[in-house]
Amino acid sequence: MHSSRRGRLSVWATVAACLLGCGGSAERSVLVEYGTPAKPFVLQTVGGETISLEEACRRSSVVVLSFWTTWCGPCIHELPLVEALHKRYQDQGVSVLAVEVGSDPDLVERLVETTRVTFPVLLDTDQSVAKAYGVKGYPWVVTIAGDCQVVSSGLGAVSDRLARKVARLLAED
Amino acid sequence: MVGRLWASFGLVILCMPLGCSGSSAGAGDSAPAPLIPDENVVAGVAALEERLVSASSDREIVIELPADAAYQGELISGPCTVRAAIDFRGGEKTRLVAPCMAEYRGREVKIVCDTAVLRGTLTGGRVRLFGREYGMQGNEILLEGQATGAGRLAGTVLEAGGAEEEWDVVEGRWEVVADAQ
Repeated sequence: MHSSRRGRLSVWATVAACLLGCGGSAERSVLVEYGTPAKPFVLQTVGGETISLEEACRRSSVVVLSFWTTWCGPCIHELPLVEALHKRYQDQGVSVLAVEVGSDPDLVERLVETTRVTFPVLLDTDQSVAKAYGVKGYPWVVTIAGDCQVVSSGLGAVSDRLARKVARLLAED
Repeated sequence: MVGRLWASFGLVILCMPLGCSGSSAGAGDSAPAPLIPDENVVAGVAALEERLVSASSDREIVIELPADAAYQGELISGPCTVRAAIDFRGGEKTRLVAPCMAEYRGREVKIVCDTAVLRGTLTGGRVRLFGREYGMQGNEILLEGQATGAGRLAGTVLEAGGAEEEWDVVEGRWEVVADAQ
Protein backbone atom coordinates (compact mmCIF):
# COMPACT_ATOMS: atom_id res chain seq x y z
CA MET A 1 0.00 0.00 0.00
CA HIS A 2 1.15 3.53 -0.58
CA SER A 3 1.88 5.92 2.22
CA SER A 4 0.96 8.89 0.00
CA ARG A 5 -2.67 8.17 0.78
CA ARG A 6 -2.23 8.99 4.44
CA GLY A 7 -3.09 12.67 3.94
CA ARG A 8 -6.25 11.87 2.05
CA LEU A 9 -7.29 9.44 4.75
CA SER A 10 -6.77 12.10 7.39
CA VAL A 11 -9.18 14.38 5.53
CA TRP A 12 -11.70 11.56 5.39
CA ALA A 13 -11.14 10.97 9.06
CA THR A 14 -11.95 14.57 9.90
CA VAL A 15 -15.07 14.60 7.73
CA ALA A 16 -16.23 11.25 9.11
CA ALA A 17 -15.58 12.34 12.67
CA CYS A 18 -17.65 15.50 12.14
CA LEU A 19 -20.49 13.63 10.50
CA LEU A 20 -20.57 10.94 13.14
CA GLY A 21 -19.46 12.56 16.29
CA CYS A 22 -20.20 16.26 16.27
CA GLY A 23 -23.61 15.87 17.80
CA GLY A 24 -22.16 15.75 21.29
CA SER A 25 -24.14 12.63 22.11
CA ALA A 26 -23.22 10.14 24.80
CA GLU A 27 -22.02 7.72 22.13
CA ARG A 28 -18.36 8.38 22.68
CA SER A 29 -17.24 4.82 23.14
CA VAL A 30 -15.95 4.46 19.58
CA LEU A 31 -12.85 2.37 19.89
CA VAL A 32 -11.78 2.67 16.28
CA GLU A 33 -11.20 6.09 14.84
CA TYR A 34 -11.23 6.56 11.11
CA GLY A 35 -7.85 7.05 9.54
CA THR A 36 -6.04 5.47 12.46
CA PRO A 37 -3.97 2.32 12.10
CA ALA A 38 -6.07 -0.83 12.13
CA LYS A 39 -5.52 -2.88 15.25
CA PRO A 40 -3.33 -5.85 14.40
CA PHE A 41 -4.53 -9.38 15.03
CA VAL A 42 -3.70 -12.96 14.22
CA LEU A 43 -6.55 -15.46 13.96
CA GLN A 44 -7.08 -19.01 12.83
CA THR A 45 -9.42 -19.73 9.96
CA VAL A 46 -12.01 -22.48 10.00
CA GLY A 47 -9.63 -24.49 7.82
CA GLY A 48 -6.79 -24.14 10.35
CA GLU A 49 -4.80 -21.52 8.46
CA THR A 50 -3.28 -18.63 10.42
CA ILE A 51 -4.06 -15.19 9.05
CA SER A 52 -2.62 -11.93 10.32
CA LEU A 53 -4.02 -8.54 9.46
CA GLU A 54 -0.50 -7.29 8.94
CA GLU A 55 0.07 -9.89 6.24
CA ALA A 56 -3.33 -9.19 4.65
CA CYS A 57 -2.50 -5.47 4.49
CA ARG A 58 0.87 -6.23 2.90
CA ARG A 59 -0.76 -8.46 0.31
CA SER A 60 -3.80 -6.34 -0.48
CA SER A 61 -4.65 -2.75 -1.25
CA VAL A 62 -7.98 -3.02 0.53
CA VAL A 63 -9.03 -5.31 3.38
CA VAL A 64 -12.70 -5.75 4.25
CA LEU A 65 -13.44 -7.21 7.66
CA SER A 66 -16.98 -8.51 7.94
CA PHE A 67 -17.83 -9.30 11.57
CA TRP A 68 -20.69 -11.78 11.95
CA THR A 69 -21.96 -14.51 14.19
CA THR A 70 -23.77 -17.76 13.66
CA TRP A 71 -26.85 -16.57 15.55
CA CYS A 72 -27.25 -13.45 13.42
CA GLY A 73 -29.89 -14.15 10.77
CA PRO A 74 -29.13 -11.08 8.64
CA CYS A 75 -25.43 -12.04 8.68
CA ILE A 76 -26.26 -15.49 7.33
CA HIS A 77 -28.49 -14.01 4.66
CA GLU A 78 -25.76 -11.68 3.44
CA LEU A 79 -23.22 -14.48 2.98
CA PRO A 80 -24.06 -14.80 -0.77
CA LEU A 81 -23.19 -11.10 -1.16
CA VAL A 82 -19.99 -11.42 0.85
CA GLU A 83 -19.06 -14.31 -1.45
CA ALA A 84 -19.87 -12.17 -4.49
CA LEU A 85 -17.67 -9.36 -3.16
CA HIS A 86 -14.85 -11.81 -2.45
CA LYS A 87 -15.03 -13.39 -5.91
CA ARG A 88 -15.23 -10.08 -7.72
CA TYR A 89 -12.20 -8.52 -6.07
CA GLN A 90 -9.97 -11.37 -4.87
CA ASP A 91 -7.69 -11.03 -7.89
CA GLN A 92 -7.62 -7.25 -7.71
CA GLY A 93 -5.82 -6.83 -4.41
CA VAL A 94 -8.78 -7.01 -2.05
CA SER A 95 -8.98 -9.34 0.93
CA VAL A 96 -12.43 -10.07 2.26
CA LEU A 97 -12.08 -11.60 5.71
CA ALA A 98 -15.19 -12.76 7.55
CA VAL A 99 -14.58 -12.72 11.28
CA GLU A 100 -16.97 -14.96 13.19
CA VAL A 101 -17.36 -13.74 16.73
CA GLY A 102 -17.81 -15.95 19.72
CA SER A 103 -19.37 -19.13 18.39
CA ASP A 104 -18.29 -22.70 18.84
CA PRO A 105 -15.70 -23.39 16.10
CA ASP A 106 -17.36 -26.73 15.26
CA LEU A 107 -20.65 -24.94 14.65
CA VAL A 108 -18.93 -22.36 12.46
CA GLU A 109 -17.22 -25.10 10.49
CA ARG A 110 -20.52 -26.90 9.88
CA LEU A 111 -22.13 -23.64 8.84
CA VAL A 112 -19.31 -22.82 6.44
CA GLU A 113 -19.56 -26.28 4.91
CA THR A 114 -23.32 -26.03 4.50
CA THR A 115 -23.26 -22.60 2.95
CA ARG A 116 -20.28 -23.41 0.71
CA VAL A 117 -18.61 -20.04 1.12
CA THR A 118 -15.06 -19.78 -0.17
CA PHE A 119 -13.83 -16.61 1.52
CA PRO A 120 -11.65 -17.00 4.64
CA VAL A 121 -13.69 -17.31 7.82
CA LEU A 122 -11.64 -16.30 10.85
CA LEU A 123 -12.50 -17.48 14.35
CA ASP A 124 -12.62 -14.74 16.97
CA THR A 125 -13.69 -17.17 19.64
CA ASP A 126 -12.78 -15.00 22.63
CA GLN A 127 -14.26 -11.92 20.90
CA SER A 128 -11.08 -9.96 21.49
CA VAL A 129 -10.82 -8.69 17.90
CA ALA A 130 -14.48 -7.62 17.85
CA LYS A 131 -13.90 -5.73 21.08
CA ALA A 132 -10.75 -4.11 19.72
CA TYR A 133 -12.72 -2.86 16.73
CA GLY A 134 -15.62 -1.59 18.81
CA VAL A 135 -18.15 -3.93 17.22
CA LYS A 136 -21.57 -3.17 18.69
CA GLY A 137 -23.84 -5.23 16.49
CA TYR A 138 -23.88 -7.56 13.52
CA PRO A 139 -23.16 -7.52 10.70
CA TRP A 140 -20.38 -4.97 11.24
CA VAL A 141 -18.06 -4.01 8.41
CA VAL A 142 -14.63 -2.43 8.70
CA THR A 143 -12.83 -1.23 5.59
CA ILE A 144 -9.05 -0.91 5.74
CA ALA A 145 -6.84 0.73 3.14
CA GLY A 146 -3.79 2.93 2.80
CA ASP A 147 -1.10 1.97 5.29
CA CYS A 148 -3.43 -0.53 6.96
CA GLN A 149 -5.64 2.28 8.21
CA VAL A 150 -9.33 2.13 9.05
CA VAL A 151 -11.34 3.91 6.36
CA SER A 152 -14.79 3.06 7.66
CA SER A 153 -16.32 1.06 10.45
CA GLY A 154 -19.93 0.52 11.27
CA LEU A 155 -23.06 -1.55 11.47
CA GLY A 156 -24.39 -2.64 8.13
CA ALA A 157 -24.55 -5.34 5.56
CA VAL A 158 -22.27 -5.91 2.59
CA SER A 159 -23.90 -3.95 -0.20
CA ASP A 160 -23.42 -2.33 -3.58
CA ARG A 161 -22.41 0.79 -1.69
CA LEU A 162 -19.54 -1.12 -0.10
CA ALA A 163 -18.58 -2.49 -3.51
CA ARG A 164 -18.48 1.07 -4.84
CA LYS A 165 -16.31 2.11 -1.90
CA VAL A 166 -13.90 -0.78 -2.56
CA ALA A 167 -13.73 0.13 -6.25
CA ARG A 168 -13.02 3.75 -5.35
CA LEU A 169 -10.27 2.79 -2.92
CA LEU A 170 -8.69 0.53 -5.53
CA ALA A 171 -8.81 3.33 -8.09
CA GLU A 172 -7.13 5.72 -5.67
CA ASP A 173 -4.44 3.27 -4.62
CA MET B 1 -43.91 31.00 3.15
CA VAL B 2 -45.67 28.92 0.52
CA GLY B 3 -42.91 29.69 -1.95
CA ARG B 4 -40.30 28.51 0.53
CA LEU B 5 -42.22 25.31 1.08
CA TRP B 6 -42.38 24.68 -2.66
CA ALA B 7 -38.67 25.37 -2.94
CA SER B 8 -37.95 22.79 -0.23
CA PHE B 9 -40.28 20.33 -1.89
CA GLY B 10 -38.55 20.86 -5.22
CA LEU B 11 -35.17 20.26 -3.61
CA VAL B 12 -36.38 16.98 -2.17
CA ILE B 13 -37.75 15.89 -5.54
CA LEU B 14 -34.42 16.74 -7.16
CA CYS B 15 -32.50 14.93 -4.46
CA MET B 16 -34.40 11.70 -4.80
CA PRO B 17 -33.15 10.61 -8.22
CA LEU B 18 -29.77 12.28 -7.97
CA GLY B 19 -28.85 11.15 -4.50
CA CYS B 20 -28.01 13.79 -1.95
CA SER B 21 -26.42 11.52 0.56
CA GLY B 22 -22.97 12.59 -0.47
CA SER B 23 -21.92 9.00 -0.90
CA SER B 24 -22.55 8.64 -4.60
CA ALA B 25 -19.68 8.34 -6.99
CA GLY B 26 -18.40 11.37 -8.78
CA ALA B 27 -19.47 12.20 -12.29
CA GLY B 28 -16.33 10.77 -13.79
CA ASP B 29 -16.40 7.50 -11.85
CA SER B 30 -17.74 4.37 -13.41
CA ALA B 31 -19.76 2.56 -10.80
CA PRO B 32 -19.14 -1.17 -10.57
CA ALA B 33 -21.98 -3.49 -11.51
CA PRO B 34 -24.33 -4.35 -8.64
CA LEU B 35 -23.29 -7.33 -6.56
CA ILE B 36 -25.18 -10.43 -7.56
CA PRO B 37 -25.61 -12.92 -4.71
CA ASP B 38 -23.56 -16.03 -5.30
CA GLU B 39 -26.02 -18.76 -6.33
CA ASN B 40 -24.06 -21.55 -4.73
CA VAL B 41 -24.09 -19.80 -1.36
CA VAL B 42 -27.74 -18.81 -1.75
CA ALA B 43 -28.55 -22.53 -1.99
CA GLY B 44 -26.38 -23.24 1.03
CA VAL B 45 -28.05 -20.56 3.08
CA ALA B 46 -31.46 -21.92 2.11
CA ALA B 47 -30.39 -25.25 3.58
CA LEU B 48 -29.78 -23.50 6.87
CA GLU B 49 -33.12 -21.73 7.04
CA GLU B 50 -34.96 -24.35 9.00
CA ARG B 51 -32.25 -24.55 11.63
CA LEU B 52 -32.19 -20.78 12.04
CA VAL B 53 -35.92 -20.64 12.61
CA SER B 54 -35.81 -23.43 15.14
CA ALA B 55 -33.02 -21.66 17.00
CA SER B 56 -34.93 -18.40 17.30
CA SER B 57 -36.44 -19.31 20.65
CA ASP B 58 -33.00 -18.83 22.19
CA ARG B 59 -33.01 -15.19 21.24
CA GLU B 60 -35.95 -13.59 22.84
CA ILE B 61 -36.51 -10.75 25.20
CA VAL B 62 -39.71 -10.80 27.16
CA ILE B 63 -40.99 -7.67 28.81
CA GLU B 64 -44.08 -7.97 30.88
CA LEU B 65 -45.89 -4.75 31.60
CA PRO B 66 -48.24 -4.03 34.47
CA ALA B 67 -51.88 -3.99 33.39
CA ASP B 68 -52.08 -0.21 33.44
CA ALA B 69 -48.69 0.40 31.83
CA ALA B 70 -48.00 1.44 28.30
CA TYR B 71 -44.98 1.46 26.11
CA GLN B 72 -44.25 3.93 23.37
CA GLY B 73 -41.10 3.80 21.38
CA GLU B 74 -39.23 2.17 18.61
CA LEU B 75 -37.97 -1.28 17.92
CA ILE B 76 -34.84 -1.12 15.85
CA SER B 77 -33.33 -4.26 14.50
CA GLY B 78 -29.64 -5.04 14.27
CA PRO B 79 -28.62 -4.14 10.75
CA CYS B 80 -30.69 -0.96 10.70
CA THR B 81 -33.08 -2.38 8.13
CA VAL B 82 -36.21 -2.29 10.24
CA ARG B 83 -37.39 0.63 12.24
CA ALA B 84 -40.91 0.40 13.45
CA ALA B 85 -42.86 2.40 15.93
CA ILE B 86 -44.51 0.36 18.61
CA ASP B 87 -47.16 1.64 20.90
CA PHE B 88 -49.18 -0.84 22.79
CA ARG B 89 -51.62 -0.94 25.62
CA GLY B 90 -53.66 -3.65 27.21
CA GLY B 91 -55.35 -5.91 24.67
CA GLU B 92 -53.54 -4.69 21.56
CA LYS B 93 -51.36 -6.91 19.45
CA THR B 94 -48.27 -5.89 17.57
CA ARG B 95 -46.21 -8.08 15.34
CA LEU B 96 -43.13 -7.02 13.45
CA VAL B 97 -41.68 -9.47 10.99
CA ALA B 98 -38.09 -10.17 10.02
CA PRO B 99 -35.39 -9.69 10.83
CA CYS B 100 -36.95 -8.82 14.17
CA MET B 101 -40.26 -10.03 15.41
CA ALA B 102 -42.25 -8.61 18.26
CA GLU B 103 -45.46 -9.99 19.62
CA TYR B 104 -47.74 -8.48 22.17
CA ARG B 105 -50.14 -10.73 23.94
CA GLY B 106 -52.06 -9.41 26.87
CA ARG B 107 -49.42 -7.72 28.97
CA GLU B 108 -46.48 -9.54 27.53
CA VAL B 109 -44.20 -8.19 24.85
CA LYS B 110 -41.97 -10.72 23.24
CA ILE B 111 -39.19 -9.57 20.96
CA VAL B 112 -37.33 -12.19 19.01
CA CYS B 113 -34.32 -10.73 17.36
CA ASP B 114 -30.69 -11.34 16.67
CA THR B 115 -29.68 -7.98 17.96
CA ALA B 116 -32.45 -6.10 19.61
CA VAL B 117 -32.59 -2.43 20.32
CA LEU B 118 -35.58 -1.17 22.20
CA ARG B 119 -35.81 2.54 22.71
CA GLY B 120 -38.64 4.35 24.40
CA THR B 121 -40.41 4.86 27.65
CA LEU B 122 -41.29 1.93 29.80
CA THR B 123 -43.63 2.46 32.70
CA GLY B 124 -43.29 -0.19 35.32
CA GLY B 125 -41.33 -3.38 35.08
CA ARG B 126 -37.94 -4.21 36.45
CA VAL B 127 -34.49 -4.69 35.07
CA ARG B 128 -32.04 -7.17 36.48
CA LEU B 129 -28.46 -6.09 36.00
CA PHE B 130 -25.39 -7.81 37.31
CA GLY B 131 -27.64 -9.90 39.53
CA ARG B 132 -29.41 -6.91 41.10
CA GLU B 133 -32.93 -5.88 40.28
CA TYR B 134 -33.94 -2.34 39.50
CA GLY B 135 -37.41 -0.86 39.10
CA MET B 136 -37.95 1.18 35.96
CA GLN B 137 -38.91 4.79 36.21
CA GLY B 138 -40.91 6.57 33.54
CA ASN B 139 -37.85 8.07 31.89
CA GLU B 140 -36.53 7.06 28.57
CA ILE B 141 -34.57 3.86 28.56
CA LEU B 142 -32.37 2.26 26.00
CA LEU B 143 -31.86 -1.43 26.05
CA GLU B 144 -29.50 -2.63 23.45
CA GLY B 145 -27.76 -5.86 22.84
CA GLN B 146 -28.14 -9.50 22.18
CA ALA B 147 -31.33 -11.01 23.37
CA THR B 148 -29.24 -13.34 25.47
CA GLY B 149 -28.68 -10.38 27.74
CA ALA B 150 -25.22 -9.16 26.86
CA GLY B 151 -25.44 -5.55 25.94
CA ARG B 152 -25.80 -2.00 27.04
CA LEU B 153 -28.34 -0.24 29.17
CA ALA B 154 -28.78 3.47 29.49
CA GLY B 155 -31.31 5.63 31.27
CA THR B 156 -32.61 6.43 34.66
CA VAL B 157 -33.86 3.64 36.81
CA LEU B 158 -35.20 3.35 40.27
CA GLU B 159 -33.45 0.78 42.37
CA ALA B 160 -35.71 -1.76 44.03
CA GLY B 161 -34.91 -0.19 47.37
CA GLY B 162 -36.02 3.23 46.18
CA ALA B 163 -32.74 4.98 45.41
CA GLU B 164 -32.51 6.53 41.98
CA GLU B 165 -29.54 5.83 39.77
CA GLU B 166 -28.68 7.47 36.52
CA TRP B 167 -26.54 5.67 34.01
CA ASP B 168 -25.16 6.89 30.76
CA VAL B 169 -24.19 3.58 29.35
CA VAL B 170 -23.67 0.43 31.31
CA GLU B 171 -22.09 -2.42 29.46
CA GLY B 172 -22.66 -5.88 30.72
CA ARG B 173 -25.34 -8.43 31.10
CA TRP B 174 -28.89 -7.35 31.68
CA GLU B 175 -32.22 -9.01 31.75
CA VAL B 176 -35.72 -7.62 31.76
CA VAL B 177 -37.92 -9.50 34.16
CA ALA B 178 -41.64 -9.55 34.83
CA ASP B 179 -43.12 -6.88 37.02
CA ALA B 180 -44.16 -8.04 40.45
CA GLN B 181 -47.04 -5.53 40.65
